[in-house]
This record gives sequence, C-alpha cells and structure tokens, in this order.
Amino acid sequence: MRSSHSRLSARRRARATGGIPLLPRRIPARQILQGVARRRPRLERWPTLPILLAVLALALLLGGWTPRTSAIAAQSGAPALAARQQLASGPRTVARWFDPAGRTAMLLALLESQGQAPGTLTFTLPSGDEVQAQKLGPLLVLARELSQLSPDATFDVATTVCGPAKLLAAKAASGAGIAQQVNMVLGIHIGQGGLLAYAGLNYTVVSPASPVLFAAAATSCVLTSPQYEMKAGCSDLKSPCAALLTPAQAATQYDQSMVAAAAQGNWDTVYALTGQAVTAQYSSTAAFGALMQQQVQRVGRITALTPAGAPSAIQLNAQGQAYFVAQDNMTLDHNGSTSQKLITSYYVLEGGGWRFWFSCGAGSHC
Amino acid sequence: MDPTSHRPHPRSRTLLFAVVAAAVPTAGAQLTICAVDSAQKSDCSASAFAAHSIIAGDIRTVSSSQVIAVQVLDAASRQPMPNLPLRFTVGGANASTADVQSDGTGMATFTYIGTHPGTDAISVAPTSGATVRSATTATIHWLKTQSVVHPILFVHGINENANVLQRQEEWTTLFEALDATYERTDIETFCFVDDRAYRDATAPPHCPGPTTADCATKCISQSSVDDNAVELAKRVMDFHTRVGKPVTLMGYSMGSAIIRTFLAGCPNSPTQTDADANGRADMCEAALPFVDQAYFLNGVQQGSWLMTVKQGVDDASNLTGDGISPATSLAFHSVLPVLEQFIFDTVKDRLGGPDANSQAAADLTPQSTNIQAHNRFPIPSNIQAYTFYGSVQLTLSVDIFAYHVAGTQTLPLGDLVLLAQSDSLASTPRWGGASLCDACGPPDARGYHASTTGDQYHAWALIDAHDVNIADIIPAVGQTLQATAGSPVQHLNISQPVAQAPGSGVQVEDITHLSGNPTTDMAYEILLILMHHDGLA
Repeated sequence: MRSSHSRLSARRRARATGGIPLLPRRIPARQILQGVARRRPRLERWPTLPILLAVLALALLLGGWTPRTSAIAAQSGAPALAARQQLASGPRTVARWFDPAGRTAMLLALLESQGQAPGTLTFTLPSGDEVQAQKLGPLLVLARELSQLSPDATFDVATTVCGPAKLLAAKAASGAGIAQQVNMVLGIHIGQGGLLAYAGLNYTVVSPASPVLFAAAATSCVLTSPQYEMKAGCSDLKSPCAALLTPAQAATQYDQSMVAAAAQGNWDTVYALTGQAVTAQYSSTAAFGALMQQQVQRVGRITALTPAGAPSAIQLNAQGQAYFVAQDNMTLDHNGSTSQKLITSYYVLEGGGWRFWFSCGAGSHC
Repeated sequence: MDPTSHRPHPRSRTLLFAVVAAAVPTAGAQLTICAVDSAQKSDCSASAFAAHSIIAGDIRTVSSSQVIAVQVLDAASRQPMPNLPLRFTVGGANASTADVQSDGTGMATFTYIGTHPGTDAISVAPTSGATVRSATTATIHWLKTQSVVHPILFVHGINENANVLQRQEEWTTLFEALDATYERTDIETFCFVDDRAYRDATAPPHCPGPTTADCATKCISQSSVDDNAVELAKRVMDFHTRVGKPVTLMGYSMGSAIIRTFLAGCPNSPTQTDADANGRADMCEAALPFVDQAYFLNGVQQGSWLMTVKQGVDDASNLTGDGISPATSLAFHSVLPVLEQFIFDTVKDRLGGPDANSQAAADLTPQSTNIQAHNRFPIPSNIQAYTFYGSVQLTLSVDIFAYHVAGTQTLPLGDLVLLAQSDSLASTPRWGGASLCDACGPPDARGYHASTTGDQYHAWALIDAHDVNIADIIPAVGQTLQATAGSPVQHLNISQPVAQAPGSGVQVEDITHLSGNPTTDMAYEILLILMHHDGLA
C-alpha cells in the first residue's frame, strides 16, 4: 500500500503540469515578403461562345471547376471525364505539403474550420512529433492569401517567422514532456499556386526558468542551419521552385514509362513516378519490379496508353490534397490476345511533383 | 427432391424450362446456420436471415434444449432450395446427428438437448450429393447450472444506462454466460453519479441515487471519471460487505477508465478541496483489497482521439502526428486525411452525442489530468488485469492501370474510437489508447500478450484485418471502407452478438485451455477465466 505522502505528492505534481504560463506573443520584427500573389491571365485563345457557355455552365453545375479547366477541355474537344461528377472538391480549408524523402510534413490552416484558427501551422518532424504555432501574424497573412489562390496562379513568397510554439510528442512515454513550449524560427518559401513549398525549422525548448531565450531569438529572426527541412518542390528560401509539370505532361510521362517498363521489364522510372501509397509498401524498385512482372505475366502486357481527352484541372480538396484525373485507352496484350479498356487514373502531388496515385479498378466508386 | 431431376411434359417444355432453370442450383447450395436465442433476440426467421441479423452460437445450460435453424439457398439465384435432404452433425461434448429436410422456404430446424457440459460444433450438409458452395457452422457452449457466489460488478460506458442487465440490448452473451454459472443476484451494474438510469427511474438495485437534485436534465452519464471512481470504491465496499467475497470488476469504454482510476487509488480529484480529495483517495485505497480481478473491454486507458478532436477543431482531416502520422506511415499519407474524417464522422454519429464540454469528455481526452494522474500508480499486485481491445488493421491496395498492387503494410486503427497504442501503464500517447498490459511481451499471431514476469496482466488484441483499395477511399468512400467501419470489433459493436456470440468472427486465444480449442469467443473466455480462478473447471 502506498503512503499518503506519496499520493499527495503525486497529486501536487499532477496539478503542476497544466500551469506553464504562456509566453508573450511576439510579431517578428522583420518580414520579408517577396512577390505578390497574382492570377495568371485567362486563356488568350477562346473557343466559340456557345461552346464556352455550355462548358462554363457545366463547370458551375459540377462545382469547383475553374473556367480555365473547362476551356482546355473544350479546346481539345475531349469528352468530359466520367469521374468528374465524383470529384471530392470543396473549399480549401488547409494547405498541406509533404516531403517523403525527409519524412517531414507541413500543414497550414487557411480558413476557420470548426474552431481551428486560420494561420495555425503544424510542422511534422520525422519522429511524428509536431511543432505547432498559432496566432503568428505572417502565417495568418499567408493563410489568407493561399485560401484565395488558384492552383495555377503565379505565386512565390518567402518569409521567416519567429515566435512561440508548442512541441507535441506523438507518443509520450510518461507524463513529462506532453506539450513543451518552444521558440521557433521558421523559414517558408511557397511557390506555384501554393502547391510547392520549402520550410526550414529551428526550435529551442523554453525552460520555465529562463524564458529570455525567446527574446533573444526574436531579435534576430533569421533561419540559419535549419534542424529540419521540408522540401516539397522548393529547395530553400531563395532558389526558384522547381517547375511543376502540367497534368497532361505528367500523365503522358507516366503513360510512356509504363509502356516502356512493360516492354523492357525495367520498372525504375515507373517506381520513381509512383506515389507513396505504393512505394512505401514496396521499398525497393526490385521488389516493386518483381511484383509488376508477375502482374504482366498474369494479366498481360500494356502495349499502349493513349490519353482519352485532356486531364482534369488541378483539384484541391477540403483536406488540402492536390490531384488531377486522367483517362487513357489502355491496350493490353495477353498471350497474343489484344484487348482495350478505358482506364481512369488519379495523380497526387507528393514531394513537389506529380505522382501516380491509383487507377479505378472494378467495383470501385470512381 | 432434386429439382434437376424434374422432367416436364413435352408440350409445356418451353415454359417450364424457364421456371425450372431459375430454380436449378447452378452454383451449388449456400447453407447458413443460425442459433435460436431469445436472450439475444435471434429468432432465425427468414427476415432475420435476410437482414443478416443472425447469430452462429449460443450459451446454454445442460439439460435444456437448443434450436438450430439452417437456410438453404441457391448460391447463384439466391432462391430457396426446398425439399433438400440435410444432415446436422453435432461434434464435441454432445456428439450426434439428425436428418431433416428443407421446407418450401428452404428452411430446416433441428432441436437437441445438451446432456454434457462442454462445447459443440454443429455443421450441416446435404445428403443428396448436391454441390455445396458455402456452409457456415454453429458453436454451442453447454454449462452446468450453478449458483456460485462471486460478486461481479459491471461498469458501463459514457452516455449509457446502468440498467444494461435488465434492458438486454448489450453484453447479452456475456451476461448469459455469467448468469449460467454465478449467482444471478450477485451480478450487478454500477450507476454513474449522474446515471441515465436515475433519470429514467430504471436504476438497478443497490444504486445509491444521483448526486444532483436536478437529475431530469443532468443525469446523462457524463460525469467525471474521478467522481465515479470514488463512487465505485463505495460500491465495492458495499458489495463486499453484503456478499463477503472479493469483487470482480468489468468495465466497457469509460467504465474501464473509472475502474483504472479507482485501482490507482483515485489519485486526482481536481474538483475537490485537498481535504476532500484525501478523504476520497482514502476511500478508494480502503476498497482496493476487496477487488480480485478487473476486465477491461475496449476500455479507455489512455484516452480517445475522438475526444481530442471534440475538444478542439472537430475536423479530423487536420489530424497529423496522430501516432499514425503521415511522417511515419508513408504508405497511408495520401489517404489519412479522408480516412480519419470518415471514421470520425461515422463513429461520432453513432456515439449518440456525448457533450464535448462534459467533465467525462475532458477526462477521456488523451493526456488529460485524470489520465496523467492515474498513470502514476500501478494496479495493485493482488488484482489480475485482463484487457480486450479492438484492433482493426487496414492494408491498402492500389491498382495501376491493369495491375493490382497488394498492400504490405498495416495501419492499426484500434476499435476506431480507441487506438490500441502503448501497453505501458505510464504511457500517455497523444492520441490515446486502449491497450493495457504492463511489462508484457509482444502480441502473438492471435493478438494475445501477457506479463513477461508474473501473471498480473493479460491482453487480447481483437484483430480484424481489412484490405481496402485506395479507389474505395478516394474520391468517394465505398463499400469496403464502409464495411471496415462496421467491423465487429469496432468500439460500438463489441457489445453486440456479432462480436460476442459463440461462433462469431471475433475469436480470442484461450489461455485457460478449458475450451478444448486454441481459441474461443470473448464472453466464453471471460467466463472460463473466472471459473479457473474459482476452481470450477
């Protein structure tokens, strides 16, 4: 049986854990905002007015489709994608970036969502722990801009943000360290419609006994030698972000790599262009390649993939994921017997590039 | 009669061919067994079969009778197969056979009396040589009628009602098993200090009454874990005084959190003054010697991620770093936001609307003051701890054009309301957890794990594996993901016959070796452990 003394001590300790005073909120002294968000001009060549109006009406009916997308479809004369009616589009409440190589991620709340404040930033560390900051002015400004931004807009912003944040442990082994106060220096570079980003992070745990650390950090809000980096299409705060392929280019690239791989048995390029949903499960190209060769033997060899019209425009769903949809006429050769099938495939933005996400198989809701 | 042997008159051949062809079993017979059990509201009617609301087993006392029904359908046409000769085969403690014939609706029944305690496995097959496409089996546990005195106190979950025994809508299998062996009057349920049973005037005997005078509006079973833990201590003292034997505690969901706090000696009572808190803690410590076993059933040990969401953004898609975070679960990164939102919406709707601002919700939030406080104290070594927790395990497959890529990694989703998370008594994972098995080894293939030294902790992960194609999650949630949400080990399903009844898909390792099989159903295993402790086996 425990003593009353030990119990009382524990009770006191339990009460003490919730009492860490918040540090005063600081707005960084220096903000560097480069570039101003501006929308790309509408297409210069317009189709005939009746077609445009019809496509525009359809786009508005389906919701969330920009006139530009519809114009592309109308220009190419492509049939509407069968999947269009099922796209899960909605207001972009969050922006989300992911660096598979660095195993880091960043999320910025763009809109008020059931109590979540706009401008709340979450940087996920490779360990699964998170650094979370709220109510830092530049982040709120950034969130407002991104919430109104079209994914095809020209946009390039870099800023450094300093201030208090919380370090949240994914799995705490004990009551200690459940939520620690930290000082954060965060450099952010966001490009191409908010689709691409770089973030570098430094943080220092604040000791309740010496909160002066934050003041010292805030006076020189400069990111040097970041402890953690999230590279999703941009590599640092200054260099231009990598150019993102258009949906049509990305889909064609994947189609060509697939046909070549099926013919030659080298699946390296397909693997590199495929999303984490697959590549994280088959962590070597050899294992993936062996699996695909088995599938070729069993199902047949894809000999041609021909785009069936233009892909959809870039979509941003409510969860902050960027994706597009493409359709291909697939030609399959199985033991000398040739068949054709229309296949709908999704591509997702991961690590600053388009990656093949999935095709709609039999019985799916695509 | 075999319908394929029917020969129509030549003049009516064309018409009859169409009729007969529809009834010919082109794909073989599909035989589905059902156990009639009034306690579990299983009448094995045609409508019950149609609604899939049938159970494949029952718990009976020796010398009583058990009715088994079978429905025979053509697997292809789904039409009844009438007049099919069938043989029921009972294997096990009461081995026997019986020949019957399906009636015009494809149904047949078989009634037998169990004369020996033990477990029967019942199968059925056509004797005409007809092809069988699929056939299910039934399991019947036969128990000796006894009235062993062993006080058992059941503690329900948040938002629930203590009249669970009388209502017979949840935990019917478990109570049926306990009732057959133990003195009925010594199986009781605990009333929360604000129990819904008080408001409904359905409180079971020995509940002391609500602590609030405004029970009409405030008795919603959402009071604090601490207050209920102290109340539980009083109840244990009272129960022990009345019966004179150590009390076994069984808790579901929040009921487990209440038990855990009590077993820690009620170390935290934030709503009280220090003097009151000391008195309350002393009450708990005084009652601890009168507890012998604790059963945690999908219990809140480290909090529920749902409560974290409720306390904050109410938007599950914003969850990151959730123990199944994008950074550490790369394969699921692109589906996690949608998956989490779907699970949140589905379970939230079925939870029945706990108040996010209630003290119970605050206590059940991961890393809450309550959880941090009780984590500091181990369960007294005189008390055996048995933990059962849902463990839905998701794999994700992907189609790449014509090629199917099977998933190789597993996403552990717990019982959807509670992640499994850490076994450790002292852990406080940010997104909560249900597992409790301190200093235990890793789970075996069946999900069982136990103390590596001593015999105090035992835990069973109720594993239910699902493979979902990513196209069934994105862009719209499809049937296979819906089925995952309906898993029998899902938090809200675990109390139902689909998870509890003998012969259900939820099987656990039998650590008593009394069932005669490596695995058995959860309710029966709990009974066997109790019987083992009581020297009844």
